[in-house]
Amino acid sequence: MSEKLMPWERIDRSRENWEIAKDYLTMKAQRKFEIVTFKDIIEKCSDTSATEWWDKVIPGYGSGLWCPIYYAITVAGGVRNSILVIHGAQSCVTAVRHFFVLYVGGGGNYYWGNPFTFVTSTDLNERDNILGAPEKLRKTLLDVDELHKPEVIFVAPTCGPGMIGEPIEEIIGDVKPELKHAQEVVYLDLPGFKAIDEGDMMRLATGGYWTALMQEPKQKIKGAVNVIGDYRGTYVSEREGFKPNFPSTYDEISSVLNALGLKLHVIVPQSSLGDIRRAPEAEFNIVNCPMLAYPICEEMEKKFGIPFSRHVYPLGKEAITNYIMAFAKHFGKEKEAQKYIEYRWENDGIEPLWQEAKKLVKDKTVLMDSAISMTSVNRQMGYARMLQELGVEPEKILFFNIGPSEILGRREGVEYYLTTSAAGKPFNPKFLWWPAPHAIKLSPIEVADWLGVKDSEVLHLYGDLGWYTKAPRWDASNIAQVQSSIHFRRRRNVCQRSIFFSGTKALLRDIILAIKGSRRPGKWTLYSRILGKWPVPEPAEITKGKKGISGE
Amino acid sequence: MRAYTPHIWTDQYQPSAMFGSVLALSGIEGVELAYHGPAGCYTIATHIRTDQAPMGTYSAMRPSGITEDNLVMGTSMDKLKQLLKFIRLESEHTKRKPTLLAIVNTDSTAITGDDLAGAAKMFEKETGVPSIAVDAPGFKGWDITGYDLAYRTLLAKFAKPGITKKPDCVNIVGPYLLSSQNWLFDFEGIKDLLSRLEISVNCVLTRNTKIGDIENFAAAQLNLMLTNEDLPLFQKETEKLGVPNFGADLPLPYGLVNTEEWYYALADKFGKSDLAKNVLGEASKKVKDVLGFNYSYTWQSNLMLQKRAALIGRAHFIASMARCLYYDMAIYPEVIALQAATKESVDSAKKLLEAMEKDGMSPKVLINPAYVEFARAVREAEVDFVLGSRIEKTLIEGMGIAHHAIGSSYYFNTFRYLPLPYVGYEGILYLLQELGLAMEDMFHEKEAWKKLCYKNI
Repeated sequence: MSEKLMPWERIDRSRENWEIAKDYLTMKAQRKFEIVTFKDIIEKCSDTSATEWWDKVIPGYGSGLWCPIYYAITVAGGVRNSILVIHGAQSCVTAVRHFFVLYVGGGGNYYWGNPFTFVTSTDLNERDNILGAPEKLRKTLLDVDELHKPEVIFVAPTCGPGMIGEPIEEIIGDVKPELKHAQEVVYLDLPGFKAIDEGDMMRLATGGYWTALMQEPKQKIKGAVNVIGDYRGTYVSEREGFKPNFPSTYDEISSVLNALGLKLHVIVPQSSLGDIRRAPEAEFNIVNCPMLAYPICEEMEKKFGIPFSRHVYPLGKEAITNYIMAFAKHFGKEKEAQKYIEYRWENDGIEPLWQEAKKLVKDKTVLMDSAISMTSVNRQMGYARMLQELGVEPEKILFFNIGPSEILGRREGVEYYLTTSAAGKPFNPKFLWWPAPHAIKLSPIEVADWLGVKDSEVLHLYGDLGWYTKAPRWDASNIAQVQSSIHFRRRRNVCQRSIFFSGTKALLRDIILAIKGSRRPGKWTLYSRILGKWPVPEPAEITKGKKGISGE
Repeated sequence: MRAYTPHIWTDQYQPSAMFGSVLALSGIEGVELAYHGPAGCYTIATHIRTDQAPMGTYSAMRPSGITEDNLVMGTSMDKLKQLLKFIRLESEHTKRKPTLLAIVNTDSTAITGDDLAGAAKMFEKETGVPSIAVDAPGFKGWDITGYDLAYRTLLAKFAKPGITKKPDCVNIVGPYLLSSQNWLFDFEGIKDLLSRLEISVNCVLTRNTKIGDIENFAAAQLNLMLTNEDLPLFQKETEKLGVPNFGADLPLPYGLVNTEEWYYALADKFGKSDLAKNVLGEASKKVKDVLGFNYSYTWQSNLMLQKRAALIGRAHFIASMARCLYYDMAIYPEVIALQAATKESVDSAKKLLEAMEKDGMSPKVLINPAYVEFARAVREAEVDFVLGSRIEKTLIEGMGIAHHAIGSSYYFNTFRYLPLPYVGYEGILYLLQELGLAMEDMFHEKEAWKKLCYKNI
């Protein structure tokens, strides 16, 4: 008996992309959607790369998102007292400065507290890009070493030098002995064309580089734990001697470790060179972002024998317990950890909120809308897992608008989630197969209508207010909407990634407020009026109807 | 001619030729951009073109999606052909026909030497849609190169020679090159100033521009230049069409003194000096009405008086702003960092500052400095606050110095929605409001408030 073909297996890849795209447009118009699971995608596409899917299954728009040079600057940019030398056209540096580092992460960003990073470029012109300019790189390295006095220099090529095979490592090798200040010069081989999927970019930006900077430890520090994998808010504020507007994720992790008699040792990769070198003194590694962390953790385990836990995104009691117990177990502190978790859950006032939210989400259908990259699949999975623990039926949690390529691109993180469970049930969310999400997004209205779900039954976790957010149908006044993008979800006293105890509490409060606040139809917010038809109410609706305070 | 740079390397905000071509072409109504390059370039291009969207054109843009395979195997041209097929298909499917198809490219697809011009010709032949290619990859230089190439291409393709001149009529060139973060409304303000002089706008390169406007380009008396950067290719085309340039050597109309210089020079060109005086007279009444006996303004004036400032940004804009601070506010612009692509822009901006020197102010002027050099100059000059763009905000505030963003032609995330300009006499009111925010940042002792906060709240 032949096995049922998955939707991507039914695509005739011998056809031209635009022909495939035409089918998609028809499919969208006719609402011929189907549902698969994350497990289907991961297991049945074990030999498929994200690039293949970007390139073929998302035709016409198979462009990808950002490029490796953004990640080179973003990941290396937060290393303290470092500078970057981009060998290539200045345009790439300006492009990264224009938006990415200001809002997404890396050096000099607004929301995450990373210090401004000096990103120089060799400013290559047309001729240099084609014929090479090794002397310019050499002179630049000597100049910036003299002028900036950095501890470490990171060098990365743009597309041009990457294409012509500029001998950058050789140049670095030649110049290094002449440098007066930089103790290390790291070549990041990340030209823009090297990858088109963010998961691949993160892998490229982490593999090999960071453990190469680490040194064999002279001693192990008892109870020391590294946190691996982040480029946002990479500091413990108490250690640095300041109080930020929002505690960093590391502030919260540090408080947990301290309560168990352990200590946060080094944040990798964004610390000082000295700290990165000392990272192998730790006894255990824990993970923040799986894509940035797993490659480094695996290398550290192999090279320095440091075990690590794969748990990420601790939201909800089960996930928090799993996350903490992983290292508590290593240090033989399970009892203290359990006691601590119970204490925080109680003392932070999470339990009453949990119970209230549990009642409200009962019978809700959760639309996990990830129309923008700021709601990466692994973060969304964390939210969905908590909602499953909260009592939402797994059948009623539906992801859409995440690129299927992104699921493959961030495979390691997704695979981790699929090994977990929530509320006693395996965690394997449903995915609405739609292969062109970054370009031709589905609206939650299309999805809700296709599912036959009433508006009052929807809990919509969205990443970015979209074109569909318009009166009268889709608005915070009549649909329970919870913001789930990393940049926008900032709350007082909640750690920056909105996880752990503070993140769980804040998410519960948001869910409660969103559901309760979605029972005021007709009182549209500004945003939905702007995109909608700006329905100015009749005077009688306000003065005599239910909308006004003096009405019925 | 390329502007002076202190090093062979650079570390400054230097928008590229690709930025320029995309932003210029996005100002054409109904344009479809075929973006030939890899993901990183495309993603940022999609951001840049949105600058033209508020009150204007939301241009369509599609990527060819170049990968490493395409570059290694030499199949990048196939990708462009696929993209063009896709655009054609979608156009048929949606029954939406672009007014113009514009192919733009990036470093990698320029190195492979893909035949953009041939692809554009073929598309035009097959679809009847006017099509152009602008070969302006990032490595060709600053944004000005991209604008120049785009303007030249548009004029060469569409502008008709020998058009009858319209009286009291101008073209406007480079509204985004004002490099004010408020450029959308500054441009509206400039149009309003022209309208009050009874001067009509013939064609804008480019903002909400119709192909028909470009066809009639030669009908204008002159091109009102909103940039002092050199545009050699545009210059040749406009000379052929018989439209002279005007205004590049004047300060931009930010503040009272600059507005007077700019407005009277323009009015004089059209024999409308008396009318200009009346317009400014009316505007001055409004400004006086708002600020006269306004204790808030008196207080702010006291806060601002004799403060020392540093400024960083595009040469024409920042030199004009420095003059505004000095002449209108009695603030001393001690450090001025001029960022410019061409020597012409630097020289012109320096002339504007030299005039200020004759009146008693001798600032330290840096040309295209690296950020570390600007930061050190700021520290050494002990300035009270910095005016610049969002790019260096974290650097300056990281040094513990107040910083306020006013420049850089990127409207996104300025969080400014009031449709009011910085330019003209009335624009001084908005500039004062901006400076008020800078004064608050400068004077407020937030760290002390936090440290000494009442403990039993």
